[in-house]
Amino acid sequence: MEKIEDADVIILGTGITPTLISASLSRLKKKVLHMDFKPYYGSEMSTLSFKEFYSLFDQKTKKTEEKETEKEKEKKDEKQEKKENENVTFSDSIKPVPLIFEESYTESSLTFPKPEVRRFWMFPKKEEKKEKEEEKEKEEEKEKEEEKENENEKQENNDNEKEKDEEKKENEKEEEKEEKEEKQKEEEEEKIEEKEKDKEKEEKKKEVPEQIGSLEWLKCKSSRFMIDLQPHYIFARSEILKIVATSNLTHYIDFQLLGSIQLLHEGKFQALPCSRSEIFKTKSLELIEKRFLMKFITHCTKYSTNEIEDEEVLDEIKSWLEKPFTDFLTKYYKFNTKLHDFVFYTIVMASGKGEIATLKTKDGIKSVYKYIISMNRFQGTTPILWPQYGISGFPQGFSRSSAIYGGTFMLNSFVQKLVLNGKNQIEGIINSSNEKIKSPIVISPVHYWDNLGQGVVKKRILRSILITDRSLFPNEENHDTSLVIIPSMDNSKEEKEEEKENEESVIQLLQLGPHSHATPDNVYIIHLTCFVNKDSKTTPNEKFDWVIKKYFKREKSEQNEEKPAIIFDCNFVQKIYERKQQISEDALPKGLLLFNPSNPLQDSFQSSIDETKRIVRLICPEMIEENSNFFPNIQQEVYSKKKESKTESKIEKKFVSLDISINEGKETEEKKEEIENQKNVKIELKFIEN
Amino acid sequence: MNTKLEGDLKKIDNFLKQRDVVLQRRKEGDLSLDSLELAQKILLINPDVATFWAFIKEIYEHYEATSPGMEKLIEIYKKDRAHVEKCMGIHPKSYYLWHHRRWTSERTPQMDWKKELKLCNYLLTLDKRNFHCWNYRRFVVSQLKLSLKEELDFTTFKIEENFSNYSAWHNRSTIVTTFKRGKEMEEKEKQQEKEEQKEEKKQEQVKEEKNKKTEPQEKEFTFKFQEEFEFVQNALYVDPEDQSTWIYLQWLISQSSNEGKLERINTTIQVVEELLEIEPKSKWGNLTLVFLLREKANKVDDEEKQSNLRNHAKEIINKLIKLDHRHTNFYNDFANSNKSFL
Repeated sequence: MEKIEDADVIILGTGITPTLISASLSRLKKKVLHMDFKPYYGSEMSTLSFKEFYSLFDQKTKKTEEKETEKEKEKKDEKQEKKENENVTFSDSIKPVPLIFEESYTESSLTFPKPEVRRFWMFPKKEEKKEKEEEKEKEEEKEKEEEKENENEKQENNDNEKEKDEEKKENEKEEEKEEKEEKQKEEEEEKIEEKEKDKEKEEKKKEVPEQIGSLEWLKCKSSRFMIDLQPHYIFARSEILKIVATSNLTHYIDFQLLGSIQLLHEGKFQALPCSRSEIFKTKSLELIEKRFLMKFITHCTKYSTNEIEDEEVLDEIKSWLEKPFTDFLTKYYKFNTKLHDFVFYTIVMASGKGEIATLKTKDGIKSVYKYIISMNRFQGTTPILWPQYGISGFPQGFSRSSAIYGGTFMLNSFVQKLVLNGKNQIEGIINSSNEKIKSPIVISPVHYWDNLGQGVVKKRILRSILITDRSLFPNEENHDTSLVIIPSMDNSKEEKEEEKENEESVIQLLQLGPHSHATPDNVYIIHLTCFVNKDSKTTPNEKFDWVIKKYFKREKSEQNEEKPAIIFDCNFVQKIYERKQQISEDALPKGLLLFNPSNPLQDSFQSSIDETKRIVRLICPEMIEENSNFFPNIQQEVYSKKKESKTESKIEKKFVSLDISINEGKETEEKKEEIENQKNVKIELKFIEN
Repeated sequence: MNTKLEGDLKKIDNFLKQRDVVLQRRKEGDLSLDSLELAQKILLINPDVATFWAFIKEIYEHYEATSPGMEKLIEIYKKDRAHVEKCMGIHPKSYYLWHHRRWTSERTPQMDWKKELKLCNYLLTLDKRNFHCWNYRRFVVSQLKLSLKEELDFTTFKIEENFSNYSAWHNRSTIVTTFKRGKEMEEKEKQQEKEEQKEEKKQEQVKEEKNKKTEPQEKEFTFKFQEEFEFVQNALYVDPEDQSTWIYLQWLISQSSNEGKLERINTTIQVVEELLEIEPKSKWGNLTLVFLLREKANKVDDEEKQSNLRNHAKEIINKLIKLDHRHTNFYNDFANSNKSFL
């Protein structure tokens, strides 16, 4: 690989924000060097295969991470020494903190123990009982015993020891190599990859274990799993999709609509019909409810597009704008609690009762409008697109986009030191292979500088990932991929705890099935997510336990056939970091720009787009105008420069078809789309580069 | 601007030249297949010219007169269908085009009506409200002899997609009419049967068997007015601003049989008034109420009651004029044309 000696910008981390920045700057003709200390893209929002995911909980990775921290400590010492010498170089301990598992780094005060892989158990595939049955049963028993042990030792690492040994053997080889040849890490990486590939091949040759649910089985099917560390929801009409469409990213990411968005209301999963046609058809609403709901939806959309003719109505809505949205619903539209809750939890996606109490009508109307216009875009009953093959399609797509425009990407490498001149201005960096790379600007996630106190933890994300053997909605095929909102616990015991929690209790349950390409056939991934306050001591286990108990079965002995059985589950905690609003200039070297990592509290990556614009404007002041194009397509120039092969440019020109659904003649959209909608035709959209 | 104008002028010039050629051929009575090709070509520029379609028909009639044999006929009409489908893409609402389609379909030997139905259904997904297509579809359905039930289900499906669809409601009304007619016939037959009861049993049995053979599905299908009213009411609550539903409701009332009509009107008035409590400004709701009051007045003999109804209706009209002052003259005209009542 070519050695890189200088760059205009060095970007750290490959989450959505840095890759957006990278794609933008590359297109604006900056020479970008992009680094990530992990071997895969996506940072906190990676999508991993089962093996990759499993290895996160593994001894080996922790060891290496510890090593890294040790190295950093050494560096700290170095830094202090040099500071005393009135430094020319300044190095800071950059902590490439994976936002996935805070506990490997952070203080012991957190009560939540290490990430735990709690259980593996097997259950025979119904039809394929063969000679090996007995052996397997023995294995099962062993597993069970281990399981029991594991449960006893919950706070310690409780992996299946056999598995560990195997893993260790595999990993030791790798570790040895790492130690030997640290400088040529990348080459070595390739070797490892090859090795891994070989191993995979070998494994493929081996027969796939017949028992679904064993660790072996999961590992065999590893690459069929797309496990998202941090689910995000993308609305069909959102800025990110515009960027994806206009910057030729559509051939890196495929989308499908979520099958349904449901609310756990009075013990039942229920979906709220939102389109005219759905409301007309549904039998779950009373006539009066239909009228008020339709009236509310039409008012919200028409108000947002300035189309309300009736002045009385207009004045009425205006008088509500600064008042609570919840009163607007119950008093003006006479919504009963059912409709009220549906609007708040499924349309506004409120995170809890706190938000319901404080949300102003003007913001509520905006949310409803976004929801409705997104839903009208494609034929379906939900406004949310799910990227097939996982959410990290976005960072990967933008990385690729940046690379096409000349950006260089280095995985498995990080910054050891920042090189500063006498004026506290960045001149370059020393990377993990001890090479000096010149660059006046380093762009980094704010949490890498945790020790400088630049970032603030805004929220903690409690996460649980389950792999189950069947769908939560076995009778509804189109609910294969579904979002379920669970507003609060329904047993009164827990209510006190809720109060403590500042009433942020909404749990998002996302089911991804085989249709989403995230799982092998007949297997489902369940993502449980809950945002809690940064000081909250609640563990994922405490939070999700009742949901898991009620809707899933942990033991195969449980008789209830209807419930999905858990094959694998694990819990972990992530954090949402945010920059401090006021940063004292002395605290940071000049040229070091910090950004907020992804924020799943906001849909459609809006916060990341805003961060991107802010950072890009700092570097390219000409982009200051409101409607500047941050992602210009200037491919031909780039191609002629880099002499890319013709085949690749052909791929670029590949047409992407989008099924534009019918907007039922509602004139809320831009003119072009209006014409398309009126034609009521499935249109092949061609994204042709300028 | 100039380049666009130049382009347009060229197109016009091209069209006129081709037109002259085709018209010349027709004048000379050249009904060769060569002329057919020319006529079809110019229709692809503008399918909305009756003369060319007529010329094509003449050519086909001439061709058929030469008795070319079944296979060749099938082939030539197959080509024609492909040509017409192209024209539909250019001008889906041309009267002549749809007329031509029906004309050739009737003449084609071994016509594949099922395929034709699929085409119609597909076109109705592209434009749900193309009444030409709805008309032609009814013709195709009559050829296929589909049951009323199937047709009703199809319109229900279309209305559920989007009930702001006059054509779909109209199609529904034709089904209701056919059903009613069938029922009346049945009743007449029953009466006749009663009269003929004393006749030989064997003959009766033969008759019944005949009935079963001709319309086996129709007997299973019953159209329930009550369910239909609920269906309409549902649409009204979802969107009271949609005129098509109100028109269908008025039509439905006018169709109900004399026996329960007054009762039907009364319940409908109640339903509409309930809706108007929530949506007092609904123009079509108020107008429908006036219509219902008029219908009721026709059924009531008591003069005092009649005048009450009349006053109520007048109030509503005055209210409407205030609400919707831009259409004052429309309401005045409405009142004038109902002088006997208002």
